[in-house]
Amino acid sequence: MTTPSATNPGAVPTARARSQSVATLSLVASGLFLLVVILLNVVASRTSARMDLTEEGLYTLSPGTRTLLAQLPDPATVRVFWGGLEASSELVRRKYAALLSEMEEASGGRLGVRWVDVGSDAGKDEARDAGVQKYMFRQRVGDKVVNQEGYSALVVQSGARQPVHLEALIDPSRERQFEYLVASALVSAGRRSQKVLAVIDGSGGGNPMGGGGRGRFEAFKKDLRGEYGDIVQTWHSLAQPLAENIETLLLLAPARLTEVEAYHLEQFLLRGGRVLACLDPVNFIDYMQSPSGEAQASGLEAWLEHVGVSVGTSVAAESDAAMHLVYPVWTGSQVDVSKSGYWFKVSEENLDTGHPALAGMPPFAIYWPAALSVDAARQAAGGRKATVLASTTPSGVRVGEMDAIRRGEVSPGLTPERIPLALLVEGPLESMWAGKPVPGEAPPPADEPLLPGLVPGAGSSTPAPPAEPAPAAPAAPEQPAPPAPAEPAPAEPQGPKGEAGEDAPVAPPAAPAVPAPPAPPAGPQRLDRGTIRLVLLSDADVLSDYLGQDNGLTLPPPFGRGLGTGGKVVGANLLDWLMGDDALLSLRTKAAKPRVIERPDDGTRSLLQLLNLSVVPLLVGFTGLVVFLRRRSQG
Amino acid sequence: MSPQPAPARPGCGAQSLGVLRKELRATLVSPIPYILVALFALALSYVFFYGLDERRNPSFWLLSTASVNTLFGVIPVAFAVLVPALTMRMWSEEMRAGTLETLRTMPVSAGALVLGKFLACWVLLAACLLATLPIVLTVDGLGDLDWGPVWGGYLGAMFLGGALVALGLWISGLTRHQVVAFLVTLFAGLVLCQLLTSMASDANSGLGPVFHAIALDARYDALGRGVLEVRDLAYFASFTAFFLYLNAESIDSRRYA
Repeated sequence: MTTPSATNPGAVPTARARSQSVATLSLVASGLFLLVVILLNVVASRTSARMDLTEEGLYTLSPGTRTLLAQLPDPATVRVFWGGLEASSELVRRKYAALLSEMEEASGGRLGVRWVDVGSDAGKDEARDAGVQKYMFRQRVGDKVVNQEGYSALVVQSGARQPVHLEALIDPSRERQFEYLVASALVSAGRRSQKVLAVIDGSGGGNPMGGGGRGRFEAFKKDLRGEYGDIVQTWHSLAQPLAENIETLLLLAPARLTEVEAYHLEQFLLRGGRVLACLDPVNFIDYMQSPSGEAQASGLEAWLEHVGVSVGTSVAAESDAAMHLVYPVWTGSQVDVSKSGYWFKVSEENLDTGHPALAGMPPFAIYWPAALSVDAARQAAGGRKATVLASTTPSGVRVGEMDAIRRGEVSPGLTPERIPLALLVEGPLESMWAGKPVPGEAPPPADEPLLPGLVPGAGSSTPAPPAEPAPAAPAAPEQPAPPAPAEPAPAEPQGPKGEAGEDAPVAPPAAPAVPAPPAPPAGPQRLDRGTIRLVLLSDADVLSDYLGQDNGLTLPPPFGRGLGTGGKVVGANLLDWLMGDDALLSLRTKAAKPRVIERPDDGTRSLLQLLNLSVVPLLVGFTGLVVFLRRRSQG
Repeated sequence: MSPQPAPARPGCGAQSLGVLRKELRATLVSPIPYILVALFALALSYVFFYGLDERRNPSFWLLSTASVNTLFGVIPVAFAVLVPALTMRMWSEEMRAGTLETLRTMPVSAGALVLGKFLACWVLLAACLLATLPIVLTVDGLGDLDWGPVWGGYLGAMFLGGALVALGLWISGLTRHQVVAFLVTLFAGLVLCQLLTSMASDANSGLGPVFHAIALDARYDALGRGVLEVRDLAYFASFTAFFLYLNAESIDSRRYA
């Protein structure tokens, strides 16, 4: 007997041949399917279609950015230098690419985005020519950790103006703020005038968490430089008058300022300069090191009293336990959390959310703030207006004892009141030194006539050295160097400039100059009155490295998370507002909404844990047991 | 006398639903899925409320933030362990007991069989995820929880679970030994949900992006943040479809073996 295939090869194939043929077909079909899958994914990877489910639209352009883009004064370009990074950076790149693409679209052709191929020699050359810095990071290769270089920067250029660089965009803190960073870079790149923001950091090198030599606000200052670029200048102290091109001053943790320094601060304000002063009566170092004593004086107390704001020597605390925030407590190798009335929440109902800088502002944490009070009568007499931007609840108390602060207890028996924590003082001010000699300077000879409203000052006579050296002044100047001490008076006094100049009395023509000695460069004119704009924040810790997020330091959450960043947003928004960059205000608050839980007491906490750990497993397990027993009983 | 018309054969969808019902009935009378769901809920609750370590997986109380990111963060590894336990017996058991041949004689296509078993496992995964809902509700009760990333996380977890189930079913269809199926699926799941991401960080620039593009947990991460991207959904869908297809092919080819 023969098989059909043996007699007729074209007839029914054998089972083996058929099986082989099916296997081949199956293999080919699977290969084709795989090819389709790969092609589909390649095509999908080129699309940026997505849906943002977050409540705040964290991954979608906000209306503020859209408005800003639609109103760009000049066409702008964004060149993105991205590559050579860890593979995990892909998610960040995708997010950036999607947002930049949206921005490009929203600008109606005013913004162009170009991704530079930094893998090519031409791309590397372009990065070098543009002054883009390489991003250094450490990567594990096999069992070794090696240093690597990559790019994660972008350069924004508007017209022929100076480009603005945004570097280290791979950092998580920058990732969260990306939309704001690009928007602020576009604003900076499009600015027609070069405002200068000066920063004076009174914390010196006393950061116990950051190593020797670092101040306590390095992360915030780094953020400022990242956002504003070259317009941020670091000044060491107020021992000398601030340069005339400075429009805004950020004064961080002033400590024991001299009268001369207070005078220079006032003169800067009277010239039309704007100031955000962050007092720091008790900071982390004081808390750790100082066994007793009072809150640290800023040196501005007398001058603030003149302005109509009292600081005193106490700190504000909250006796409302609902506002208390948790902080970590180390007990041996364990980390637990505790609460304190000195580390509390400033919630939305205690913020002036009608102010543009605070609109939409989420709650933020504050840490041993100064207990401010406003002398309304003095303000009214001077024609000024003091607005409370933030305050405690009506349960705020003023605590003057350092021992009580160290114990973390709010002493009973104190009178509760709503204590201002941030103030905006605006309006006319007569100098505290009006009609008096410049501090630290010999009075003018009695026979020398004084011009009305104009007395010899820093710019018109040789200033004496400060009464005492500035306590936190580092030995070596940072870039840019502070100006040289003012030289002898110019032959002709210059009229005051800017906003304050309009309020200041106009100086009559000066007497003919004495021929010798030759005239040195002019310093700012002394003013006896002007219109000021001062924002006083009662605590500088809110901007410090150890309360902020992603600061590279070692404190565990909740210090490193949640409300910590809210303070930075408040600080940065107030600065933006003072600098007139209102368009950016709503962008920063968008990403800042903290979602801190109402921490239950220990009993409730244990109960919640127990319920979650037991109810569902027991319920499901019990059902399984019932099913199993029923099945067994049914045989 | 005219011949009686043959009864219409049900479509693939109806066939799959039939298989799904049969599988669920068979599964739910066994205590194993209940134990798995209970253990899954217990493990995730423990990790969420007590944490694994202070830095990378701190406890919810230490974070003090109304977020369930920690919960969704451990789901890829949890699924890599759970899914093999669900899928290991799906085909191996049929082969060992000799019921696969019986199944193949029924008027049901291999695709419908595969899809039915896939849906049965997927439903069980959904039950596991449902068991974590009390955690989410607890967090919502204590603070202002953003539900967007929560829905994104659950959706991502379903897609991730679907991909792992498809892979597990295919592996189960290749062997008659449940333990082998479990171990191979576990290994493949851990590679796709953990190892590839680590290797992507470890490797030199050449293969790193490829590893990262293949890694399931990297794709899941974007969904867990509350961003549904077409490319991630397409990846999960095509990954699942590919392994379901391979599974159907392998089951179908047994007819001719």
